[in-house]
Amino acid sequence: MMCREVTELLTDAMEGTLPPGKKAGYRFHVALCPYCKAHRRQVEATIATLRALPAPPPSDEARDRAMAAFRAARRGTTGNDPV
Amino acid sequence: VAINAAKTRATRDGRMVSFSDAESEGGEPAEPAVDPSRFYSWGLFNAWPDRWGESPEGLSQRREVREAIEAGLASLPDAQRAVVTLRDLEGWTSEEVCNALEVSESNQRVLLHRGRSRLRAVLERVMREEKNP
Repeated sequence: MMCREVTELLTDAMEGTLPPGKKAGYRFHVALCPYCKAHRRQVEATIATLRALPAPPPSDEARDRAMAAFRAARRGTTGNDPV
Repeated sequence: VAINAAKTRATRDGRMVSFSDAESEGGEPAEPAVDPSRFYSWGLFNAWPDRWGESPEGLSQRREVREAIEAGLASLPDAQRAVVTLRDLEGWTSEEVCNALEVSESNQRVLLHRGRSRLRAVLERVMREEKNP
């Protein structure tokens, strides 16, 4: 397994959902690769920065709109669904 | 009228995003997590990912970092923004997000992965601009 694939599997690894066939290769690579460790630190810092953001009131409205749009898209309707 | 136009646009974008995200599952990543130029053709990193050398608490205190990541979050496709906001800002579990957005576990993970990846790239840009203004 190469770094490129490791970066694509990072979220799976963090979520504990690596495909069984990828687990050993992923762990082996990351154990030996300081580049991938450094990349993971960046992603972890990004997540921590997001967590530390104050959730501003306008985000509720934006979130509701995003959710409504998302659901409408999945149903193939044009929106206006109650959230 | 403006609000309706915005809603229509959000709906259309949301549909495009959710469709393309669903279709690209399994195959080549439609949206690579890391700029392909950062790898050799055979897939190893060709340069060090920068050390940001600061605690995340310190990072989030800085105005330019906060503004950049908030702008980055706002510019994510709707579906990615919804998932990242719920997971990382509001602290929901993946199960809660799947139920609320009516997406599969794997789709939720793809959206989270892409959203976080884009925001990592945003932070990387901010940190580099600071070093070499």
